[in-house]
Amino acid sequence: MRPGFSPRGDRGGRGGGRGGFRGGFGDRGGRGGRGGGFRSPDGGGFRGRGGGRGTPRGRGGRGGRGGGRGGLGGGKRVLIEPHRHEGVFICRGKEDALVTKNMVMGESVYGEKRMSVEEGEAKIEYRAWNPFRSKLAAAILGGIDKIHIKPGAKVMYLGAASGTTVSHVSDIVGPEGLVYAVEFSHRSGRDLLNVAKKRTNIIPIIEDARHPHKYRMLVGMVDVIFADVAQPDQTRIVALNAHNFLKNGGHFVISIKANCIDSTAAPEAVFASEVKKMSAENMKPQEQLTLEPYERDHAVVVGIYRPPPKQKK
Amino acid sequence: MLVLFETAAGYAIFKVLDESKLQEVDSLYKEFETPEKANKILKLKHFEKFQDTTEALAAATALVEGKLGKSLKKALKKVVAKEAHEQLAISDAKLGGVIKEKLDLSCVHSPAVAELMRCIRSQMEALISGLPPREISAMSLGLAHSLSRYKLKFSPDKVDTMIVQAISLLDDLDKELNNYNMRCREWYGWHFPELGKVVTDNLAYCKTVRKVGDRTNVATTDLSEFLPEEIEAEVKLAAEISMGTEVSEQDIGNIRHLCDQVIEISEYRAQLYDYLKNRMMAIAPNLTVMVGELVGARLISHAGSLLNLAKHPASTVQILGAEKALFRALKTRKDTPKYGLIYHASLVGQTTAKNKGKISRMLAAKTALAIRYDALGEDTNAEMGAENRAKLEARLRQLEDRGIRRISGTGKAMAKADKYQHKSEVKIYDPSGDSTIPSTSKKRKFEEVETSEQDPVTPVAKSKKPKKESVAEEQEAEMAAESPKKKKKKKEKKAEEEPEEPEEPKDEEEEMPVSEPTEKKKRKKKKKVKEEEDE
Amino acid sequence: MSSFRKALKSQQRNHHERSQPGFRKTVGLLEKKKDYKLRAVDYHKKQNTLSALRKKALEKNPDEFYFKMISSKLEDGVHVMKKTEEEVTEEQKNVMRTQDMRYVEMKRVAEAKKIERLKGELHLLDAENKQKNKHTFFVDSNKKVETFNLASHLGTHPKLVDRVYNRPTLQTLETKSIKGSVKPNIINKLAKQRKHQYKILSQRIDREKKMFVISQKIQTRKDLQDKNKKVKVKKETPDRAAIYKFESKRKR
Repeated sequence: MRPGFSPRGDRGGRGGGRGGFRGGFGDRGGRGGRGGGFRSPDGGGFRGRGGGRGTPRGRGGRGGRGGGRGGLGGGKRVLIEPHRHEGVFICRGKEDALVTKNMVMGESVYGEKRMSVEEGEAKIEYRAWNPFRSKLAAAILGGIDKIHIKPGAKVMYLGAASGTTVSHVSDIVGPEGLVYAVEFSHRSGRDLLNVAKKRTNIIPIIEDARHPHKYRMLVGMVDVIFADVAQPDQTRIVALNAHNFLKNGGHFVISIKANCIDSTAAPEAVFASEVKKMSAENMKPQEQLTLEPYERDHAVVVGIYRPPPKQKK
Repeated sequence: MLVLFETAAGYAIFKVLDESKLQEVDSLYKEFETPEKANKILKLKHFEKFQDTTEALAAATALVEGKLGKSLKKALKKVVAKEAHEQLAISDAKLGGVIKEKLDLSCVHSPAVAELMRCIRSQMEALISGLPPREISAMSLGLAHSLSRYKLKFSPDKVDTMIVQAISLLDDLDKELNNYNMRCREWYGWHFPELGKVVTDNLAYCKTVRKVGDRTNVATTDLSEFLPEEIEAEVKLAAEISMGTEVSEQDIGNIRHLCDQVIEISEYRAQLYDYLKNRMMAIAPNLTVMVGELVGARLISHAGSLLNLAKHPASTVQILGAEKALFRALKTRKDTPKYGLIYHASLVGQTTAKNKGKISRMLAAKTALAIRYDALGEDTNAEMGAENRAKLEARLRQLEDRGIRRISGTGKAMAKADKYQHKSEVKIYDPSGDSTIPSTSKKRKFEEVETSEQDPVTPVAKSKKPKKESVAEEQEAEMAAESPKKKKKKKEKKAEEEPEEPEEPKDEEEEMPVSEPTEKKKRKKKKKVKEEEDE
Repeated sequence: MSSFRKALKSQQRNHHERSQPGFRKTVGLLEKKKDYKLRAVDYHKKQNTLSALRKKALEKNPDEFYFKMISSKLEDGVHVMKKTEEEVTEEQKNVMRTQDMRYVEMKRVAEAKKIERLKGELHLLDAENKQKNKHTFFVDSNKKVETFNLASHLGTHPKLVDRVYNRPTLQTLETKSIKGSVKPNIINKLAKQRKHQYKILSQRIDREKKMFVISQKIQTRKDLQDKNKKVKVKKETPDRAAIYKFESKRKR
């Protein structure tokens, strides 16, 4: 690939050999190496309704050669594809993004890109969900089977930080659902509070998740617990909260950072040990997914809590 | 057995109707699968509703700390009154201990109790009749927000959005005010153009126009409240010989309305500025002490918020506001700008042009510390800012002194030092070589008098010279006092000084002999002749 | 006849040169004419050169001038070139390096910010050689493991199983539809634009890496001005600046 940067060659005679760039762009210790090792994708899109039998991956550029962007017309610049998980969409246009429907029109929570689509009379706005920042988005794009977070669900979010992923969960559950966002840090808590001001289905709780009895007054029974706490005893934390607030047959989604649990062991071993700990607490794991290429040595485990006893035939 | 269940709406106390079911912990959930089944196991005995959010907040904080709040105490007292022998099932063992202590009510907490709490929570709406689910969720939302605000020590007078808005409004007002002023001058200038040239201050102009109206009334109106005497006299004079045209009452009325608006806006602007100063002192006292209210407010509004400003390194704080110049310089590889908004701080304004760069850098470094202290510190007082400012001022003085000493020969300070140092030889112009005509006796006498006067003073002054040099700096203040004294002397008759001269060497003050020869240098020959005549 | 003489010579023995006799071996080689000739030629050449130089010295023009005399001077009878001032002093070089480094850093930071922004929009949905992740399903019994069918487990069409980023369930496929335009030419146009955006992103990532290498190299050159002792640990390559190990000395 030809380098796009042309050196300022008009300064000859100065000290220092600043010659041409002899190719080879090495990896710099993982920095920027994440996105660097890919080839741009080919064209093709997802054909609509009555089919879904295979996606034609034709080479882009067949039609519309000289048309350029102007030929598309206003509002037709993006294609919103419904996702397997309800409340989540894929936006294909100039962007290639995972999006959720914006509950607060016209506002970005953390400076993310917004796209709007005209649906007849109404304009619907979607916000891009960055998988490089959010573990849940990375799991969704990694092909997770079920996230259990759907419109109308009650979600408990442990480790809410500044509320960036919480805002997307709030978009998914919609005005009928509820998100209990638990965060202990005061700095992040301030940002979380600001996010919760705009979205009335987020209930901010500035408490230590290790002591669920301290916020028992604010929380009802929830359907899903999502945990992104990055603590060595995170399974115990989730178990405590599940015993207090998660309904029978409810699900949990836990994001595990191998480095955080045990930095010396191999990631697979760490994930396996965490799964074992979960099983001991009556939390039955159903699937496990690693988050490459968005994160390194991370995994997401989805499971069911107190599964209803199977009827023997 | 009684069960205590806390909700966001209030405290609920249930009575367990069927205690046997509690023994089978694992299948307890089956009993709570439907509301009807749940009601068979538990009955709501008492629901202590929170009266308002403050009570709810107090109860929530007590719960978090594991203490016994007022409302809980009240609710439990009612229970104790009726059924003191019953056990109370609670979710928090610590709270149970406290209840036992204070109210002598035996509490129980076990896995069975935990399971029971779970089941109650799942059927909360059904068990607590008279409370629609929407109300509970609304109350829990409100309670969560107030509890979080309480936890984060959210104080409404520490919100920096006010500053950002206030400073933007101040700029807007200034712009509008300027527009209106120009309009008013132009409009009224049709009728009385000279007033615009005489009265330069905008506010005074508008007040005058409002009071006067038509220029024929100027002679009769008293403008002394807002105009100084001379200007008022000029106005009255100009009104008589004005070349402006006549205008109708209606026009004057409209102009008066405009002036009213201008005066109102000016007053509001003053008020807003006061408000801004107060807010700045409350929100960021150290920053205010370091750079002043206006500059501090501009810095905050430029960065977006106080926390954002605290994240910037000191070098960025130094050139905040000069981004265009900065990027232009970086792109063309020239020198980057030395100051941005910080240029308008008083410390930078009062230095010489050479030192502005140095001071701006030092000020930015200390200011960055002050900002961080204000934004992220726990308790805010202005001590740190005052200390830093004192340090900076000391360093500033050092810088200036160093600058003065370095300039040799024709430098001001060196020259100053020269002035007050007695030179052993005073070189005077010798006019004897001017003309071939023999010089007049008067001139000669004058020289003789000079040289004779010098001799008694010289040896005394010489001995005092080294002392003078060392204490020259300390006496700068005294010298400053001397200079007005000197000037006064010039106005007065010089004859008074003459008898003083022989006394001066005996005088305690050491400046007199020093000042005297310099005064002599300054005196014109006419006055010297006068002295001689007096003698 | 000459051929007869040559024929006779063919039977002749090899005539050898006479060497120094045994008792005179200490005085060295017995010089023959050819050795003398070498010596004489060399000697005469030198003598000729010397006499020519002597003649030249006698004929010297005291007013001679050559332009190289301006930039050279005589030291111990030897002409040495005078030291000209460097066009650029060390201090100036330092300043220029700082300016260059600031410029390069500014460009690098600008690129990094743009990369972050682009990564927020381009999530590598269709990218071909992205790293594969591992997806593990926990089932109840060994039999279930053997009879596991991913398509049926996910409830989706078999052809969609490879489309990891979005495998809609059959129900979604039947009930939901795509919003926005679905005309093929628009889809192709958008695909082209997307491809272009990805290309830009990869170019920016490359550029940022290059900027980083350049600024490291400039910084290394600046550090080399230090008078302390240093040892080169790694050589400079196109991808990496040289690494030096400096003597640890307290900075005053």
